[in-house]
Amino acid sequence: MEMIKVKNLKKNYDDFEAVRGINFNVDEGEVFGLLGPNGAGKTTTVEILEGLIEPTEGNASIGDYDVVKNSKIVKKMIGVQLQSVNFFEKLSLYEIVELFATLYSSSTDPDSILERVDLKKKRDSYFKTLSGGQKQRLSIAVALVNNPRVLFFDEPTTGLDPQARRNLWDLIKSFQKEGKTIVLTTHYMEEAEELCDRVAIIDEGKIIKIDSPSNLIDELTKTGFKTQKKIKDATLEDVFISLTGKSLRED
Amino acid sequence: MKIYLSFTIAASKMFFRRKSSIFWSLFFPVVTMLVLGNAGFIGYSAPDVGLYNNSGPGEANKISDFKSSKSITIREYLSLDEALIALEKGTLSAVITLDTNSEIKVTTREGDIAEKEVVENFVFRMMNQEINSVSNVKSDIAEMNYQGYKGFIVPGIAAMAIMQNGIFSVVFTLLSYKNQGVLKRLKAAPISPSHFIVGHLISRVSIIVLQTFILLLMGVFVLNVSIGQGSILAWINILFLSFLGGILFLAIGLAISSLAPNEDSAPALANLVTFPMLFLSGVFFPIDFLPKIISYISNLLPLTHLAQGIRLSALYGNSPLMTMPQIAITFAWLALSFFICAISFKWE
Repeated sequence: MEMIKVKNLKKNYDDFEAVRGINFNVDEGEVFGLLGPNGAGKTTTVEILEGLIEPTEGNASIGDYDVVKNSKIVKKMIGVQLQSVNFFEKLSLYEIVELFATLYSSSTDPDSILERVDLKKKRDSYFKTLSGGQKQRLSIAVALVNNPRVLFFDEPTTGLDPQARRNLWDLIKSFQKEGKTIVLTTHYMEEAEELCDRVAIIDEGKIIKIDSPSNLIDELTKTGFKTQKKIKDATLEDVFISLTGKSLRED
Repeated sequence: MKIYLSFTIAASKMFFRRKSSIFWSLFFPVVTMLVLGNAGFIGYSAPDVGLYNNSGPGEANKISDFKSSKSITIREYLSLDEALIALEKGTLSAVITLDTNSEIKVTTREGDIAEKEVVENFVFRMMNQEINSVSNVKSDIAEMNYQGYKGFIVPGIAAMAIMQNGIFSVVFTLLSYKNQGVLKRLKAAPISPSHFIVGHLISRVSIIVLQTFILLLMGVFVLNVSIGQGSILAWINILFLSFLGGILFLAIGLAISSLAPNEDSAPALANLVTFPMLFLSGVFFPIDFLPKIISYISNLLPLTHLAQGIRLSALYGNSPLMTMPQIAITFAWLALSFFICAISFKWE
């Protein structure tokens, strides 16, 4: 079943065309990646789906509800983690999650959600005292208050250390196992390879290619392309993780 | 309803957890009030003397003699009551009454010995009389509720604090939420952002009423100023005025943040609005002290009427009905600010 449908989506800011006619569908339970350099239009596309900005042209729907006309229904169905994460500085994590649960008229227990993202110990701390990785995890906790069927993650691992990044990957995989549909934007290719069932490569507001990561690689190697870099059995990141351990550092 | 309540509670918690908000809305006004109220260093003795002629047209010469004096400004009053009210408010430092039997009475407030001497000397001089000779100049101490400069400053500071807290809590707090992207995340939730703004405003209005109450209590217990003159209605009116003033200045804050061309200019614009009002609205000294032309401007400013309304209730026990003009002008300003907000406000 197609959960998300995007048809000929366009968004102009004055003279600048941020998104120029994008089409894609995302199946239920799929992890779909939007890949592209900075300024390619990833965030604009995601924010249209989240009901934060209105498209100039075209339309998009989630679970058969139009994101503009039925934006309130759509917002209740989805969980959102925005690129720049910020919450009220002088509220404790428990209070923030509790407040957002009220906004979604949800009766979820804030403690169980904080437990899920490994922030139970920090429940009484203020948001401003958190590390970058903890802030991202709180942002994910807030996205879970309404037990959403669709989750949006906008560059969730930008600026995180390898331990925190892997921890976040594990979290995203656990949502996938629960059957949630996930849309993820990133400019880290290894992240897309690790998490996504299919990816769309976006540049200058247009989708250049949509396929699974392994198909895309196969297609490139068929043309006779060979990577310049000698592939070893491990990467430097593997070395780093094996030397410093997988445990999170910030707690 | 539950959402408004949650936002109100959250905004109040954040207010009391932030040291700077406690400093500016409570500590700073309290200290200013106590320092000025105790020192009274803006020597609050009005320069003017009232003159009431109760002796018919025969004394016209004497009156013009008095009025031609260069050392003291004489203002003629047509009724003694009016002159005494001005004396009670502090606009006048003494009242000279010309009586039928060519007796002259100098009325001063209790304790104003210096004023009494200056004015009596002046009258003797005008009459070409020796000070200690038998004369027809009588002195009189008026029995009135005059509380001096501290009585003036307490309601003034309370009104000032309402303005500061109202305008700056919008210009700084709401704008910082907007800049940090907190409002954007709220926009992604299935609620209208107005829930958040309204919750924030409800929290701030309650805090402003509480703040007024605390400032007046400090005036009563630390400065020994009598507030409300035993009238419950006067207290209710003061709290009602601070509620109304709170909404007004929050709305002005919203209007400022919507009209400011960018986020950096909003605090500057807010200072531009509040700073003149501090000095022109009768917070620290009566607007009668200002040149005539400037006092016309003063009478247009919203803080002038808020301060006056609170002062009338605090010092003379005026009920809501007796401060109707002040309440009406505050409402007019409220309507104007709401109108500006309505046409210019942007969530982004």
